Amino acid sequence: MTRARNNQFLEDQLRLLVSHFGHEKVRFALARVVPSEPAEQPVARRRVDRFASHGETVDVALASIKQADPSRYDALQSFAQRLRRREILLEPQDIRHFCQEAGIKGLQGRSRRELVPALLRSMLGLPTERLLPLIARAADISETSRRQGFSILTDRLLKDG
Amino acid sequence: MAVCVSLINMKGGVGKTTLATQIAWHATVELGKKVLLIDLDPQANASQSVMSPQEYVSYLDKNGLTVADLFEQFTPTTVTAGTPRNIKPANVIHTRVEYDDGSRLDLVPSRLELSWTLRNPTNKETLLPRFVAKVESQYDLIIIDCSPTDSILTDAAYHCSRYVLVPIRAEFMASIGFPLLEKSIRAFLMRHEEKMLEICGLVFNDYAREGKRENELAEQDVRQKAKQYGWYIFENDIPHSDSYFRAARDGMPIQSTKGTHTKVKGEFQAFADEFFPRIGI
Repeated sequence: MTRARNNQFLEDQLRLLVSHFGHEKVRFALARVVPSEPAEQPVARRRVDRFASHGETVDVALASIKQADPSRYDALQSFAQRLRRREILLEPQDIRHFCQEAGIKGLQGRSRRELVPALLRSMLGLPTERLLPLIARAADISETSRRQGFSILTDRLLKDG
Repeated sequence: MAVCVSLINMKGGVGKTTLATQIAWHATVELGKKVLLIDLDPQANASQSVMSPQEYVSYLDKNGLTVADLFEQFTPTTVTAGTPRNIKPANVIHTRVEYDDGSRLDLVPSRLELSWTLRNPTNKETLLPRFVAKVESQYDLIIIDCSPTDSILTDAAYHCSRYVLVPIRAEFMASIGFPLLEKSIRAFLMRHEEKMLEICGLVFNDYAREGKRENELAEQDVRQKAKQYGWYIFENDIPHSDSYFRAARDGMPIQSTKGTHTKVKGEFQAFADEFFPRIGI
């Protein structure tokens, strides 16, 4: 099966699951799914394909909520795009920091490439009321802002006199 | 019912705040516990570390309640608010993080004005235990980060606590605070015979990795004094690592702090594996 057909097949299956179990249950289950690795590929290619597979699985999961919850889809899709364009959460440490804010525990991966799909999968499971404020805060998390911590309180106390 | 542990050493600069925050993070993230960290030091370093300095300043700007308000809620005059007033416990608790498995890290922040309490301490030592009694059923562990003084604040911490953990640095005059601590606890227990309070142990914190003669002498002195008082010394030290500074700055557990060597993570894990069973967690 080609990758495109595979995606189409997965999307169809997801729609079936959503219609049967409901959107919330499927989203909950998807957030916990760890995609299996391609079984019979050479080691050298496997690493690349695994990451591609992670991203695709997230995209498929995202697509599954497009009709049922368009505003949630838009927010997550936009967040995913900004992450992939490296506009936010530039370093792996930023992602870990963001996870602390979001209450996401045990995110697997070391590099940003591994962490981004894992983060997006985890965020699919978060309730909307927690999701939107978190996305809004993502842009504030950076090494630059952490470094400001050295002087911000001193500056405030000096201002107070 | 929560186990309450106060980190106390009458000597300053021994790493109480760093250890208090890392124990709180470890219990939350690694052990999946509900943890409340109470910052009982007017310098408010634990508050800034756990909340991040930006969020802490923003919290103060919004007149967020702190432990200082708990102590001053019935004081006739105060600059921050009209008194007397009964502060609702939930209003003084700042939720730092809440995980899906139910574990959480909450904070009672401090502020510089807590030092005013020391100027007029009459009958205030029971206000913190009253607060803790109202909230302890919501937590597994309560950690109190104390300032290095024997004061109303220390008495308040004793009232709340089942255990005292004493961080020490192996350096000149490392044991200087021991007699004061021993007398302070003994005097407290004489005044409150019904109270269960004991030192769960001393831990060498920020320990130099290279064996230096001065450190060895200090360690010998501490071990001798601890034996004299019958105090347990944890077998697992917490050796020095710059990653603890970074963890404090970033408001992160040492296990998730960028650049932390696996060895450093393992050392803290070893201490945690020894510490938590000693307090029944």
